Amino acid sequence: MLQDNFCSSPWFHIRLSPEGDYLPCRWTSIETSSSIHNVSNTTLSGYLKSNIMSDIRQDMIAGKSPDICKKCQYEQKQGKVSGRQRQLLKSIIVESEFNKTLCASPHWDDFEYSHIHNGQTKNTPCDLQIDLGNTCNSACIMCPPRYSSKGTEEHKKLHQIQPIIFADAPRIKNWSDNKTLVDKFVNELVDLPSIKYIHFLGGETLYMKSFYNICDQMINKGLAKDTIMGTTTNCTVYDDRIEHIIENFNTVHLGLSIESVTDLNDYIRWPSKINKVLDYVNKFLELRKHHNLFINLRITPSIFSIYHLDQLLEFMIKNRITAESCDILTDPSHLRIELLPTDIRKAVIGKLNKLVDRYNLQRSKNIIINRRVPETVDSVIGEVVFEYVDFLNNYKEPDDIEKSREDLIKFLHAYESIHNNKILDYLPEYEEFLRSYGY
Amino acid sequence: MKNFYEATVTRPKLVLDVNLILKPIGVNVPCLVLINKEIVCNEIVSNIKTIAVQVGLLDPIDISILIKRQHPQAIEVMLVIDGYEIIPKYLNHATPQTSYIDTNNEWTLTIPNFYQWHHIITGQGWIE
Repeated sequence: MLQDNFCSSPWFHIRLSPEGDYLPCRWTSIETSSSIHNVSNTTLSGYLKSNIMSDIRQDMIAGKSPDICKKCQYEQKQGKVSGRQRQLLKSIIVESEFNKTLCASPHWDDFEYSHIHNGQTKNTPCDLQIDLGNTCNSACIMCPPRYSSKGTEEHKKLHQIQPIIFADAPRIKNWSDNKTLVDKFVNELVDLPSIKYIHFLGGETLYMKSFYNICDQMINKGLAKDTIMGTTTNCTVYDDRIEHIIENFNTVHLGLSIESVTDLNDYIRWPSKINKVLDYVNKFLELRKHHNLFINLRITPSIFSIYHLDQLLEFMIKNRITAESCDILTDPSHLRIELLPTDIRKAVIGKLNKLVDRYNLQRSKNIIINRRVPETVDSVIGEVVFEYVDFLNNYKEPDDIEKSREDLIKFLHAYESIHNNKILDYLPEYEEFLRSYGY
Repeated sequence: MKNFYEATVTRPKLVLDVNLILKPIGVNVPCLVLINKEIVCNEIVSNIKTIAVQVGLLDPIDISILIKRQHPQAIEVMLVIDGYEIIPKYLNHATPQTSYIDTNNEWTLTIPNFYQWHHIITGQGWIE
């Protein structure tokens, strides 16, 4: 059915991978994608008009769901706000009034053109996700190595220690390290009449020269003042140049990737130092007072960080910071929340319920798709808290729970042998559980 | 709708349900109400009156209300379109910006394309 599968994203959005390969969507798994189109041989507009994108648009028009849409389909089945819902909203299409909002959409003529012309489009992209590469100063324990240069180097050692748990990780060549390609990319942006939103991803973007270079060029060429720029930081880097960027873009959406406001963050997002992280968060919050800076949290709760999630959520409430829809970690599988023992699961639920009572949080009546609207901050925070409460109350323990817990111990032993730390120094509450599996 | 072709067939048939509710303050308030230049009410309103009309999905909606009041008469307006409360919630889009008509001047509200307009006034984010 059209209502279940249609997404307007292929009419205005594309993504560049860390290697500079084009991808049709920011929610597509890079691991399962391959592209003959690269920033070196294809323009941004050229890719949107390519046969690959035309085929995807034809699938959409036919009411089919292509393989690249699996993640969104999964998220919606879990009751989460999916990327598809967010992209549809940019075309003013909402599922509760799908037929009417599709037919009233400002993009109707674009859909109709593609319907008549075998999926082709006259559009140029206006919503970009640009993965600059994987240069990163952190090696977060749940991060796939392809997103962190430091993680890649660590995985080479971890692979030697536990080859079954840790696959060898090939090094990635960042497209944005090539100055010629960066200049070509920026010149293409200048030629595009329609850029509305551009999201830069690393690695750690604030640690990457190319991030500042591209932003500066966008400012100097007059593009930034009409563009919303988004990026994500692990809050371990603060470079004064970010202030110039925030001042000069129309709006900046800054995602803060922190897992805990306790020193547990240092263990998970190794080798961060929580005091410094919180100092930098406060600097960003100060900047928010004076500029169009929207701050939200990009958390990926795991079996460990879930224990202190209540403190992180309280930090959000006190600082009026929202979060994207609850991101349930599935990989690596031995860090899944679903591996929690019953007593710790109950304790976490109890702490979250106390938070709900303490702040009198309410469930919102309607699903909030766009969580970056300042007017809905309170509702979004409430919704985020209840998403986690519901997940913890309702998840089913996986069939492979015993093996996964045993793998978790191997995972910890390997990591701790190179990080020289111990999870029980950060989470003594887990001692009985971890010891019972051989920690 | 199974596919986009069905959407192209369905589109011209879709309508918006417009419900305009007039609540008289005081008794026997003469009201003239036009929706898209058609008179939908030209009578003395003594009790709460609901005017229900259908408008094409893509058609603009122009509402005009004119009362002939004697002090302290007034008309309180509520407007609901496809189940969404519009007035008094977004009365700042009416001219004058009120849902309480207590003058003999014309009260108007113009909505160009309802769903696009509603997206914007409810602050749902950027669109092209």
